[in-house]
Amino acid sequence: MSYREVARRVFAYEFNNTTMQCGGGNDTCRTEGSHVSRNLRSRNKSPTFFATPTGAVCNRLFAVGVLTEVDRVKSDLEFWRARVVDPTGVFVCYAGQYQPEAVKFMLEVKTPCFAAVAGKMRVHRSDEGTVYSSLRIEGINDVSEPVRDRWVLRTAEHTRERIKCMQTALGLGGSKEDMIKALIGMGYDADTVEGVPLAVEHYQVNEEYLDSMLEMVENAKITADSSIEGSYEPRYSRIEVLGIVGELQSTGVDPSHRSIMERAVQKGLNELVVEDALSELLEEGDCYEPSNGLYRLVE
Amino acid sequence: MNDEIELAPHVSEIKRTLSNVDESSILKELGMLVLEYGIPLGEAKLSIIRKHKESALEIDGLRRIADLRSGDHDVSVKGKITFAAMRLIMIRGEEKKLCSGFMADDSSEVPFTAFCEFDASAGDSISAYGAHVRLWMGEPELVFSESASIHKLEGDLFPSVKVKPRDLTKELREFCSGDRSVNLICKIISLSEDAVERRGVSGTIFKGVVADRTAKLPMTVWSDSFEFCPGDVIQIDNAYVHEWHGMPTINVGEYSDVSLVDDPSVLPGGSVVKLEYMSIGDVERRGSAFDVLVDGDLTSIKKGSGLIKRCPECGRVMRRGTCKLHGSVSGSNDLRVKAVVDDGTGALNLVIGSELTKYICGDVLNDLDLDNDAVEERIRSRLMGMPVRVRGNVSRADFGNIMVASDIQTMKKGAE
Ligand SMILES: [Zn+2]
Repeated sequence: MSYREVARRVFAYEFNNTTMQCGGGNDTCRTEGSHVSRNLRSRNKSPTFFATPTGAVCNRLFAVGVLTEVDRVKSDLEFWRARVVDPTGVFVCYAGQYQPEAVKFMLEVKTPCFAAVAGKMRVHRSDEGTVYSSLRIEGINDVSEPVRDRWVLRTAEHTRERIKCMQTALGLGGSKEDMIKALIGMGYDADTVEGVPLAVEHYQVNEEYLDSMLEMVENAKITADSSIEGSYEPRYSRIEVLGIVGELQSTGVDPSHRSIMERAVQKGLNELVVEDALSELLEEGDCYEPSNGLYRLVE
Repeated sequence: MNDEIELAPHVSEIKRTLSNVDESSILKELGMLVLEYGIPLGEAKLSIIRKHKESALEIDGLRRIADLRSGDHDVSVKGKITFAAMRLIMIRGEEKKLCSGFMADDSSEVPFTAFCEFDASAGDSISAYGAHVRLWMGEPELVFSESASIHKLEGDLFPSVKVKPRDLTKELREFCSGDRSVNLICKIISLSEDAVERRGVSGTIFKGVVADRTAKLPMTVWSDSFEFCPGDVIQIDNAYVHEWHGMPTINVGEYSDVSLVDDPSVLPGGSVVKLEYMSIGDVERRGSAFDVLVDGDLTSIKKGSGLIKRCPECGRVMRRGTCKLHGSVSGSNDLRVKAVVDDGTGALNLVIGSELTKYICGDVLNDLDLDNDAVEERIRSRLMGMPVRVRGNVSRADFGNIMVASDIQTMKKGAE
């Protein structure tokens, strides 16, 4: 059984301050039940991971921001660079000949636009000792503003959760193993806990540092509109079931519970889904029940 | 004689199992079988052991239950049955009566399953030989196959082993494939009759979904009649759990008992699980999940999304005009999306069927003369990076967990 590496959510500021590699033969993170340890067990090897300052253990990342620039790195090599900017900094992303869809996207895209990118994290140290983080693109696409806002809110949530876990850990002290055991005992999951002792040690994390990270999160949130609910399309089942009630009504058949269910199942809908869609349509006033088990559209 | 030297280690090996038979007669028998009849050595040894075993059992050659390891075969044991329950299962369309339970000796207790004639019940002492040990849910299990034999013994030979009533009641979230003799209290959410063929005779079974406060699971009732309806709260005793398409399924068979619970407040926790968002990390840790809701982003749209051909016989996706099973057939058109949904805590392979794909991709697929590549490209540019809320079943597969969408909602693509 193989596990796909989850794409973590971190802000660009944290991404660009990441200097710690783990995994990839270096077995520093092996918390029972985490993605890293499951991979080690099932494939007997682990891809490269990086521990960020708030303890996210990343192999893959998913980020949404403003795509500001696209340029060709080496004209002969078909190597492209994209800059995706979030409220805290920039994700420098690369795509080469092995990502033809990403290259095609970069050739056609008009900047600036909102863009979502999924990719593998890389950390490169220059000869002078400067550390550069980048993403090797696996997928990239243009998206709408609410998609970006939702990503900012989600990433803020995930980052705050990690900071909370680290604050707790700082109060604990003790060995790595004791810290992990205690945090798991408090209900944190293995993936959240895994990077905590690594980051505490490597980045010399203290209370002030965590406070400054919390401030970064709060500032990032200011830019995002939190009323994204209206940006969702309606659910499939809702539209289908409404359509079925209307269709039955217009053909003179009484839209009874039974006839609606029959028609819906015929169309490949699942009974549990139809049941919930019907009660939701009643609750929200799109349908009413003139008599028990009979449905009608509200005109 | 040279042969004696060669056979000697085998004789002492047999002697270890058959301590009541003296070595010279073992040597004589082994020599006869191997040298005169030309029977392979391994087979000859087994045949001698089998011949003497019945009497040997009374004296020696027994294995302590604590010493049983998975992979052991031709094992002799003596112990007391501490729990036994019958079940009827279908193996390749044939009904098969099994008995499963636990037995113990002074050293330990072990689960067992008997495929052979078995009429012992809890409290009986038995001796058995020809058993083997397999791994069942991570633990050694004693298996009595059809060639094994079991003898009920007179009297209580293991007075130190006490037969205690067992609490076999579980909540649905704890159910795993391989569970048996489990009891549960649940509410019937849906139920329908299904046609089935048993020993060439067509009959009916019932399929449905049940729930308690922790989870929902599918259920199959192997019976022509089932007098309960959706909404009923029922108690099921002696059910067993089988994996069906990667999903644990509750099986109610001939030896299960089902009764109506008059007071629905008996359902532990009062009511059944509500459909709530579950983190994908939790779904991954659980391994499979029936009818759950996740909220994540499509972080990859995979190759093989778009137009596909399915075999008209079996429904498998065809490659280059051929079905893996039925060869070259003219397939029927279908549409799907293969993607990854990821919420930052975990990632699932997601399959979106044709109706849902048409709904979420909308107008972009309306061009009639699009070729496969163009459809895949349009799907990718509509869905890659999109937030989605998906309802569906998650099942375990070798290449990761798969969620099949039963309902879906995405964000709007934008104004353009
Ligand atoms: Zn076929």
